Amino acid sequence: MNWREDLRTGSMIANAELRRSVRSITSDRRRLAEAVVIGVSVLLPVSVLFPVLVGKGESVRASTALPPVAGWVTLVTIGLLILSVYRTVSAVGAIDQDALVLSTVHPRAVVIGLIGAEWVRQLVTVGVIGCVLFTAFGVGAGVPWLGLTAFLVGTPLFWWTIVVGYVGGMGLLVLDDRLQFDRRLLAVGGVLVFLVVAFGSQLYVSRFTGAITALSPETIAIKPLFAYAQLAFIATPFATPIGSGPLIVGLVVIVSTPLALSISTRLATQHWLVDDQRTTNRSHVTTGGFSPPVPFSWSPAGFVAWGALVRAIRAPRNHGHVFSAFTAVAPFAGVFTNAPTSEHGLLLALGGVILATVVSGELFVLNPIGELTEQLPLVLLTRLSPRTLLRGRVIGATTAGVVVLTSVGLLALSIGLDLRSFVLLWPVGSGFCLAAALFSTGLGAAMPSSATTQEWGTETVTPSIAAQIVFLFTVWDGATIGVVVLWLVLSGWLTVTPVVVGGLVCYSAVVIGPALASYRSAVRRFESLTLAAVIG
Amino acid sequence: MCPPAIETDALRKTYGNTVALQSLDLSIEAGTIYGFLGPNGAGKTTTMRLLTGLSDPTSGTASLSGTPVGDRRSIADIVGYLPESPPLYGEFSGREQLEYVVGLRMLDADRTAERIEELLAQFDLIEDADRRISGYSTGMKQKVAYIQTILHDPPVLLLDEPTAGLDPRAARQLKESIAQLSEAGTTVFLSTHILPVVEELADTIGVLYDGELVAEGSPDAVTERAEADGDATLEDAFLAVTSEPMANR
Ligand SMILES: Nc1ncnc2c1ncn2[C@@H]1O[C@H](COP(=O)(O)OP(=O)(O)OP(=O)(O)O)[C@@H](O)[C@H]1O
Ligand SMILES: [Mg+2]
Repeated sequence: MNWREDLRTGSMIANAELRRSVRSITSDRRRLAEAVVIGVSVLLPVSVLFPVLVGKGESVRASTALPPVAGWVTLVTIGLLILSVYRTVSAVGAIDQDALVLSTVHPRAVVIGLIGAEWVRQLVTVGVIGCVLFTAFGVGAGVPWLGLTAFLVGTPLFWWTIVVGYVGGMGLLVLDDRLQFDRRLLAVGGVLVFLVVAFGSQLYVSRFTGAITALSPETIAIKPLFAYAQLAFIATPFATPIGSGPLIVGLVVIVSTPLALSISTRLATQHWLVDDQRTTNRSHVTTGGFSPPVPFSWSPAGFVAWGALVRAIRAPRNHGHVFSAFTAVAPFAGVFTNAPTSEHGLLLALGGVILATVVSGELFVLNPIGELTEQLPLVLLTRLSPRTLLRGRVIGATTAGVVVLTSVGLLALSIGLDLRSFVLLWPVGSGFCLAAALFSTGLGAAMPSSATTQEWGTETVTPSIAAQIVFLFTVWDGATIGVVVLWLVLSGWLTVTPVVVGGLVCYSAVVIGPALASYRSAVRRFESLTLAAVIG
Repeated sequence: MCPPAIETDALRKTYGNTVALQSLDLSIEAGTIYGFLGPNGAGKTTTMRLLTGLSDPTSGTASLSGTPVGDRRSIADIVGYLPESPPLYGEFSGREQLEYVVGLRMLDADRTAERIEELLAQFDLIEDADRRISGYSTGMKQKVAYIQTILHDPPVLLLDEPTAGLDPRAARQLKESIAQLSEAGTTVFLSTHILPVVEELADTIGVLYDGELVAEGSPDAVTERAEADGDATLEDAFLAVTSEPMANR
């Protein structure tokens, strides 16, 4: 009965959410620069794909039949569903200023608003990219308006995936509220599942290559969905007679929308109005004061480092960006499973070096000033010098990296790494960790970000995306090159000649120089820091 | 007779092992200004959240003007809630924020436009109304949040430390506004640590201590009952009833 009312207020909320999204980017030069960086990094692959797709289009121009893409339509739809679930869990499942909004309007209106805003966001990002790609294909095939028709056909499909994905995401959030998972166990479990999937799928592929062809996307094609997608080709040489497919899809969208909205509203009400029991149930009582163990107790910087480590262990969610390191596991799993068993120990140890380096470079140091914004009035007024504070963060980060390095190294020893390599890799890897931490400190200090974002239900300050991207292209790549060279040396491919030694010296110089310079720039920046500089 | 503006029956809230509110029975008549006092952590904010339905009670019930607080759609029109930290969107200007709330509540935009201007003027916000809220001072935010709370003329106002961060002039404006609303029949339930505010405004005060209502009555009555001594102040009374648990009945 109140649907009309909720639709009206819902569209208002959507409108406001979108305006806030746009403003939060445009009103801040740093965010704007970030958006540009992201745009460019998306544009690059698109511009590479464009001519390829034009060529594909040209190749089908001669024939009047489409290449077999029915399965891809299903895959893309599933992909969009997963994207929506992810977005719901990580971002749009939460509302800002819930006290205001929920005491003002019905939760259903809020759900409609958040979904509506997300729909527009996905249309102008994913949708527009898809439109460009289809246009490329269409240009080749002689139907340049294909991008537009595809966009129009895709629009309701986007709506459907978002509405249904929202139910899925909300369901997960409510489940999490109900079961009161321990977040740390959840994170560890997630990482383990991820590792099993990454290695398992690679093993599967390498063992049963034959079975893969049977898994071609065509086998999972959903006929009506494909028929609906073909509406985009109407009035082109590829047009097929329109069957009942579009009708079925239309019906599904129309029927499932109010249903999904109702379920979402119920779930959302439960999720939003729940009190977070987690903060209280497990008694967060720590007896005794703050007393770092030896070696951390030796210096004020060690004191700072220990504080950072303790806080990270208690609230790992505040450092969620470090988990991006795990994206490298999938390609690594490929290399690992395809290598002979005798190489496994060494490969694992080398992978550990990269992982440790990335952890050292991302934890505590990739946003050393931004992360402190809230405590800055305190921190700037203590007797700790900026140098000590930053050194503490570097020590903390390096310690975390060395812990990773050591654990993966021991694991590698157990599966056949020889002791000589372990003894060599350990100090080199630790050096990588230290260098990464030093370098990141400067990088993060140059591009601080104090904006808090709601991620996974907690307000966290994450490093600026620009800093993360630069980090990817410098530390990740640098560490990978270094590890490949190490591998060549350790597996005896590269004999130690003066040229090789010269190369290693050069590499070290390229690593150490910028790392130190970067760290010193961070110290200088911190020393001249005032409150206004960060908050503004 | 019309139902009490605020009524709770054995309202209880626990967080894990922490008992935030033991068993609260309130019955507040319409048009009253009720000063809700208590030391930090006594359970004042918890009570307010329960009264808005933003938090579910562990047991017990609450209703505003006879409407159970679980009935979200009706409660939204009845209650105006100002939380401890002002719920504002930094990306909006003050005026935009208020107009947004007007829209969300589906109030008549033309009619409220005038009201908004009046209130902005009343609280000296005209000059800053078109600046982004992210650039406001603490007190400016608090004032905008107060205005947005009263825009729809709710019969019941829940104000959690409304004078926090306000300068003396703004605090005066706010107190005058509350008194005006009360005269017009609004019920005001307000928590504060600033006792003079309560002494000046409240018809009734309730003192919460460790999740339990340990004193209730007119400011004078509470003051008298706590201290036999003739020239005791409300502050003395507050300190007395919230120091020793046996002060309770
Ligand atoms: N989300 C929560 N999780 C766990 N405990 C909570 C939560 N919210 C409140 N509490 C506990 O409930 C009790 C009452 O808190 P409440 O915020 O209502 O106090 P208050 O009277 O508003 O205090 P103050 O004057 O400091 O604002 C406290 O012991 C607090 O620790
Ligand atoms: Mg409070």
